[in-house]
Amino acid sequence: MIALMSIVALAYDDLPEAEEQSVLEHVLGCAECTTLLAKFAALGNEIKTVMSDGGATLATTPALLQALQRQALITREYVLEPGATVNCGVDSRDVYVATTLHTPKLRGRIDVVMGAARFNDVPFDPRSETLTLVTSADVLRTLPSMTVRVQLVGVEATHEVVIAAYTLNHAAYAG
Amino acid sequence: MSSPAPTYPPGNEAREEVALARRIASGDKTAEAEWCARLLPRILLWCKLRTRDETRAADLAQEVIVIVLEKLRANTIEDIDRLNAYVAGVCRHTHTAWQRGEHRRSGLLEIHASTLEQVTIPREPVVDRSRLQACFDKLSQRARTILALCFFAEHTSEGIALQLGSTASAVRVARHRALADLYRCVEGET
Repeated sequence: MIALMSIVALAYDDLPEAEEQSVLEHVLGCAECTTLLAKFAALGNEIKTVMSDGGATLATTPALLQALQRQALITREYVLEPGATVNCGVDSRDVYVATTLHTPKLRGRIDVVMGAARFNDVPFDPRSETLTLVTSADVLRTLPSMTVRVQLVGVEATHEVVIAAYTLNHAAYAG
Repeated sequence: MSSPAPTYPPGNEAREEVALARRIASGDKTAEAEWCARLLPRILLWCKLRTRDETRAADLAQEVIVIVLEKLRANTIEDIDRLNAYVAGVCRHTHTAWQRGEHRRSGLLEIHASTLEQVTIPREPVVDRSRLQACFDKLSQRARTILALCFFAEHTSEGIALQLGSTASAVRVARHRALADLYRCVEGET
């Protein structure tokens, strides 16, 4: 059995030529590794299905947001400037809700603090000066009415600073 | 290819398959079906990963197996003890040729059709989707975004790197780690 990471890299065509040759040679003669390769192949397909079924909550780049929009999966969107407050909700038809936070100060590591939760090193597109959070409507439908304060925190080596804050007034799902 | 069987065969496959290959090279036609039955599913799996298309993968896999089978029949494989090295090379070179638009050997495919039709392909592993969803939620935000860009939006590592202000090699490493973490979680190893 070879290293798990070699199987993963083979699955996604990420090996240099010489290494692919030797890893593929091994896999062709090893049922255990072939089974593992098949599992990783299935995993990639299932990730796509989870996304398509509205089952993920994640930060997106503009391109990923557009990919979700093209498949009509973004059913509700909010766009906030620093300091803004928005009333938000969810209904039975929603799949994903996208919340785009604008700020010109996005650089380095950005953490997102939402109420009591903190998400470290959240991806953003530095070119568009936005950070977009896409939330599964299935998750939002479980939440009570609540006010959520969202802070974007710039994290440096020796200190951190709140670079922008926003407020979401969430209305509970009435269904 | 006929209906799926549950698993890939267990055991020290490479040694057994070299023995089958030697029998083919000595003119034993009865060994051909068994050898094909062992190798074709594995070759097909790799072809599916490279072509992302079921039909092209099946065609590519059949061409590879036919090329190797012809070489075995002619007893012209230099080092039969390293047969899988030869098969791996044929997989890669044939795929590269296809990418250049070079397709061939339709006559040979017809000659070997009856042998290939006897091969059963294992069904794809079933992933527990609710477990996968729960495990996906345990990944870091960055890992989730990278996996979504890769598998849902189908972006390249270079494209993802540009969006995230990173490098393609860093994206590949992050993707591999995220997939390995996801796999271990889904399998209950973490």
